[in-house]
Amino acid sequence: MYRLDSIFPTQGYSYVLNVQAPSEILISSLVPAPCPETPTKDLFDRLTFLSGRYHSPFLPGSTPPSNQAFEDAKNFILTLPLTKIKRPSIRVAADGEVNFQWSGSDFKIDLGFYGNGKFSFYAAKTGQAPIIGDDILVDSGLSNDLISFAANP
Amino acid sequence: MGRYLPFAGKNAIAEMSIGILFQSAFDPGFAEKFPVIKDEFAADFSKCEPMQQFVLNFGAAQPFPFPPSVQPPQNPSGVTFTNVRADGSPARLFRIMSNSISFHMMEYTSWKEAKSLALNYIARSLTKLATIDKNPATAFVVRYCDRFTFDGDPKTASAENLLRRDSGFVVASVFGSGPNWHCNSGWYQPLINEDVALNNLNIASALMQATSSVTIDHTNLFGLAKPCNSLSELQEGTKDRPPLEDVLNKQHQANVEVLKKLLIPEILKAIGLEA
Repeated sequence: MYRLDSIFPTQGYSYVLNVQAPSEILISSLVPAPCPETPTKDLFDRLTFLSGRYHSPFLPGSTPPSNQAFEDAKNFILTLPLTKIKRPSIRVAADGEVNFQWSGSDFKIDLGFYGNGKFSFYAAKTGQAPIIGDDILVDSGLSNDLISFAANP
Repeated sequence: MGRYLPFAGKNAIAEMSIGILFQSAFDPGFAEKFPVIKDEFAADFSKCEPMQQFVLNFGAAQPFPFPPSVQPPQNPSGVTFTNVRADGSPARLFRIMSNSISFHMMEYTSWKEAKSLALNYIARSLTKLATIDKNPATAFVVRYCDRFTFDGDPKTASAENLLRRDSGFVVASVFGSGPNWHCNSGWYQPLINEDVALNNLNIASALMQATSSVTIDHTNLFGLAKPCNSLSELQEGTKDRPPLEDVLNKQHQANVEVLKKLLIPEILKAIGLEA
């Protein structure tokens, strides 16, 4: 048994064990396969859960979101640069809205789908005027302004 | 019926790398240059990590269990610069290690931006290292790693939900064989006139934590017929070889063409590569 410390000084360095065959490509990938992150699937699973749970009115006078609202939400997720921005929180509202929210210490984006192929949003960030949008086509995705709000720090 | 989707919204690219290989390791003498290199990139990256490379010699003549013979250098033999996300994972990384200089993007934006950053970092590092005249460049590498996750019952995931049967890149036996399989291949392809590039295409499908994921890892390596020992020649090209930027563009295009042949139309549309 060998004491690792006596052979490999460990403070202050990272170590690379480099074993290569002659024909092997020499630039290593940093992404192990498979990588554990699955943001698209996680958000789709959330929508599937909400769709199943709230398919009937859940409060007196409430309207459950339509199947098309959930489909619009899914199609919208496929426009998002999820390696670059935080994942939204997804909820349903009593008026039938499928609601997406992003929030941080200095910003908030509130966005919703009603199943007409479009979405509306309200976005606010400290030190900037709020941004409001109505009837934006789902396929348009988030504008660059909003992407910068929600970008990973 | 389930379908494969880009793993992160509209992003299927988990990692993109651009690199240059050199004749020898930077090791001898890198330690002297390390402070200058570190200062050069201090404003570009939030984290700087010196690297050490060890040689472990395992010999048949030695008794088992044998102590490995280790020759650790006492000074950095390479460096990794990183911009990290809030969760600590790397967003962008620039590495000088062994005989390669490489730039890695995990938050991929566009080829234009990735290439521009890589060319900038490579030029600056080679200027500071000042070794290319004695340690010439021998190959250029462009690598893309794409991931797709399956939305649906993972046990029903199958290669035909993602890949074309007639691509020529994947063996027929993976189709209809469920969510666990892999197929690795390599071939040479003319890239610059008659000069060829080596393509490695490794595709793996695995079921992990109730999610079926497919990773498509494509590397294009263009070996220089004549090693390049001048930064200006690297950047401007020669009568026999275009500038570095133009070669990288062709390597990027090679990746695009592989994906266009490999993926079914619905997936190409999802990642913005439809014909």
